[in-house]
Amino acid sequence: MNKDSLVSGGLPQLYGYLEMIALALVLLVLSYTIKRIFVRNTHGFIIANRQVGFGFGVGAVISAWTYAMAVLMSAGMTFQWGLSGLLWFVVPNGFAVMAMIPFARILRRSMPNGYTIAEFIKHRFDDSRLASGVVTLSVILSILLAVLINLKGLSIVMSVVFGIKPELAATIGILCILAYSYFGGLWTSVITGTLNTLMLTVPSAIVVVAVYHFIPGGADAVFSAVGEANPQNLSVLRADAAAGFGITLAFGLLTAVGDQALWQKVWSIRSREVTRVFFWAGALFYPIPIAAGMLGLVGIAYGLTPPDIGGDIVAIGPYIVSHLGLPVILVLIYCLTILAASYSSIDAASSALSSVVAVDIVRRLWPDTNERRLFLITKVSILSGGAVGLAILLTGIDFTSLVLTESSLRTAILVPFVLAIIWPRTSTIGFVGGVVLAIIFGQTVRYFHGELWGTLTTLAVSGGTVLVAGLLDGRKFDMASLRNVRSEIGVDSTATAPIGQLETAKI
Amino acid sequence: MSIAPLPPLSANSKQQKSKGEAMSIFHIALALGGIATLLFFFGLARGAVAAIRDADKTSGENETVEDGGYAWTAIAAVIASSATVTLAGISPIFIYLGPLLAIGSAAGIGIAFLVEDRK
Repeated sequence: MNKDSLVSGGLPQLYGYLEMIALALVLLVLSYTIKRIFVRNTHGFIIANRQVGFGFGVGAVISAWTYAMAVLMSAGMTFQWGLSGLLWFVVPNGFAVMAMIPFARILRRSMPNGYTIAEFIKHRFDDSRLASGVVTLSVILSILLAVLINLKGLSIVMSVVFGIKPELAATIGILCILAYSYFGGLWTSVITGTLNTLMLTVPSAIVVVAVYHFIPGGADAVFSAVGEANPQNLSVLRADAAAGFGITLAFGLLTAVGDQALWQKVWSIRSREVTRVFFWAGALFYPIPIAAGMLGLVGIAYGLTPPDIGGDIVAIGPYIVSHLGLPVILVLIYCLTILAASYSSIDAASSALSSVVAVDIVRRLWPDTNERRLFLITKVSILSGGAVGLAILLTGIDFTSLVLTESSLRTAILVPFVLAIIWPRTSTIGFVGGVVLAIIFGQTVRYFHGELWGTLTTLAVSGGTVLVAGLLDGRKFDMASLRNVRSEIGVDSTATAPIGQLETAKI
Repeated sequence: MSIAPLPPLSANSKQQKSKGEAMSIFHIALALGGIATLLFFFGLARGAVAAIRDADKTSGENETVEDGGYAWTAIAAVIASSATVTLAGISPIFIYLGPLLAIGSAAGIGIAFLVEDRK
């Protein structure tokens, strides 16, 4: 088994363009229909009237959490580290979704009228602009990063399989997504995301099985070749995989506790269903990256190296699928699964952005903004988020700096945020001080001693500061007081308006 | 990258047998995928009808969240996923376990629509 037996993989670019646009057109028709049925006002647009049921909740959480890069990286990590890489990539990924459960239950019960985590922080810390501002900034950066990461995943597949320039693929991709995201808000995100989850499961799995079916010798041949390349590839106990990326990634994924795209779901799902939605979503998510990861073994078996596939290990999945001589329809289906992951994750991020803009920016800075204008601003924010994300990608603004800034903010906020939910003694000074000191010390240690020690320092300093400040302060916050927080979007907007009146609120 | 058809890797009996297994697993995956897709759309249709029926409802936003006690089940899910990856390194047949479970996920979402609390 060697790489010379692979075939040239390029499909006509036209197929790639048609696939991106066709998927977007289907979703556009669907989202317009959803808008006509479900979306009445800003409340419906950003929180779906808190009426998302169990089935749509599970599908929406899986689709929001399954980034295109997650599908690609599971194969990439397997390609680089063998099954140890897959284990360290997959296990924390699904656990991160289920780790939301205890916090989601507390916040949904304590603050049933909530929309965003920055809003929670604002009310939790006596309207502290600093505390909520830091969280708002972190949330916006993480949303932008989600857009960027998914655009990158999309552009990798389009360039590897169809030879489309990555910048062009990203531009067309974001235009396609924004075209349908703009219409329906959270309901669109939930329903189209659920449909996209089907793409991530059945067709994706069949393509992986087909890959092994088309390789002479099948799974036996791949298994033997992978073991011959390095017996460690078949072990899940490689210490270098854990130290190289696993532990840092695990902590990074646990920062999902601060992911607004997931919190928006917490506050939009019917309250009785929140717990089991996140449990089912985490459990049903697991097989998706495990299945995709099996493509990484094929890459090892063929003796491919990163330079063979363009230098980026995450390209291994699309490279294998497009270079084995599979029927074109299977290659197109595989690309469709990556597009589905990319579209639904960006759509979920855009929807999360709309909630932050409405609740944490417009309502806070201009509380008298009327419903019609708020609705307009909320929808335009989706376009703006996509445009900024695309601009960062196209202009080559330091992508690495953005990732590091967002990562350090999210990691620094993780422990203080969790303590703010579960520990009543968490104080404003402890929260803000913990975040600021964690960034300063964590980034310094990271610079001198690497990623792992930087992450551990960030977590220790942020948590320690909150604990010390809370114990010194001594006051306890009454979480029950959050029940009195009124709906930021207002009582009027939760009521069903007459159809004629609704039309005036639409753009 | 050279353009060449995929040559057979070897012709030993074990791998020939494996090819036969792979073919059957491929067809099993297709059949299961079809069933899972049907279940998914059946559930989705029911969920969509219910959602449209409730489109104009606004929730009583002060309902409490039920207590689930999902900790042990969540730990079991983590162990099961770890075992699935580990097994792929023990025998080649388990390479197919992940894709088959992924098909099961689609069925799971369909079932989620059917067991949802419509109160």
